[in-house]
Amino acid sequence: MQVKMLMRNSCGVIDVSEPLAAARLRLASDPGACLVAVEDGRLAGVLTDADVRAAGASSVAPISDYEWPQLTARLTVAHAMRRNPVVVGTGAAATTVARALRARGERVAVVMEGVDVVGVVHARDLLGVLADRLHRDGRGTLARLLVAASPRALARGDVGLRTPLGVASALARWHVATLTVVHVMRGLSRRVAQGVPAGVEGDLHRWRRSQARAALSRLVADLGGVRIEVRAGDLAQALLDSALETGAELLVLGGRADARLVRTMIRRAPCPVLAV
Amino acid sequence: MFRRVLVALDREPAAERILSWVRRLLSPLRAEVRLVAVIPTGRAVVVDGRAIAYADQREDAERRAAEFRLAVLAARLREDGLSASVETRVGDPVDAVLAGALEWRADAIALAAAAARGGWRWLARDVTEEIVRRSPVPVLVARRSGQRVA
Repeated sequence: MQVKMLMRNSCGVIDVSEPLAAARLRLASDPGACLVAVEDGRLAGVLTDADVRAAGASSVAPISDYEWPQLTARLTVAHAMRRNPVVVGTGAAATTVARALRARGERVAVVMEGVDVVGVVHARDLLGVLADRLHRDGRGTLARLLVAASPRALARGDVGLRTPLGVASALARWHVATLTVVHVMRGLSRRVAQGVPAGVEGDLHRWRRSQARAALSRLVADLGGVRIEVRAGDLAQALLDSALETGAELLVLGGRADARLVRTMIRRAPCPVLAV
Repeated sequence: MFRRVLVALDREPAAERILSWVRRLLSPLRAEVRLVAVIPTGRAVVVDGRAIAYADQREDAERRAAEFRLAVLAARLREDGLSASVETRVGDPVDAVLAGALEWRADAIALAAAAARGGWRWLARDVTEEIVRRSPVPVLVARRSGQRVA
């Protein structure tokens, strides 16, 4: 990454003869910022909040009491700034800047284009890039995917590339991820439920569950390494529970024409939703 | 599948959250990503009957700001091995995103859904839902808050 992608453009410029108190005020309004000190229009040094603190009154109260306010009030930017700062061009690599700052024990590098100061790079900016990189390197791919298999998919019995199951299985293959296929059985219609004798409902439920599991097994037989889950009850809640329990990192759903389920999942799912 | 993914972004930094998911989703693939920012149609600013900013001036300013921001994001994606390009469009967000996906022949659209509606936030939830409903290709949607991070 080049310095121009991460530098701060809005660095302030201050003359070396300015009072340190004025510099302190400017830095206080922008925490983490720094000022570029110039003398006769040429770069003379950099001034950070830490430099101002180091040059100001002692932070130890008894010592601070005996310091002459008149003396500290006379301090200028020239007294506190770091001279001979690290200077880099806009095309310099971030690694080059990091090495230079480390070697010189500095916190800030000044970015110049010719004789013009165009920005600064703070060690914090480099730390941010490093943190992003470490984060990405540590979690490069997806590990757990969840796909909802609709009754239509079960009835049709094929895994086309354009179906949610087809898309999810392709993604799982590429990411070497665990794929869980979940099917949610809807409850019996009221009329059927009323006609079923007491005690038979449980048997019917178990039979339906085994049938769904068998259909799912046939459906994913060629995919390999797929977990099957059959749930009953409210469709959205069952999918949310499954996503939470499996720690899914991506939920693949179909049925965009009937967007209610997709809408609910987008609002409530613990992971992103891929609507196929 | 997923060789070309169009990422829709608005002015909010939180919308960039989708990029980390896109990065993870596409990391094993040699994929192309196009970052698209949609700028609302500009309106002239008139004070006391005098136009102090014309619609095209405001659009140009917004377009330049968006292009600069997208270029930085695209550079980061390129560092991760993805081929990234940028595009800015003016007009209705839903139509612009869908037209962009169609013209570029995207395999998927990715965007971050807003957690709440906001007057100036064009990628609010209703826009997300409309894109999901009308899109001819799969749509990856992550929330801007209240969801695990990539």
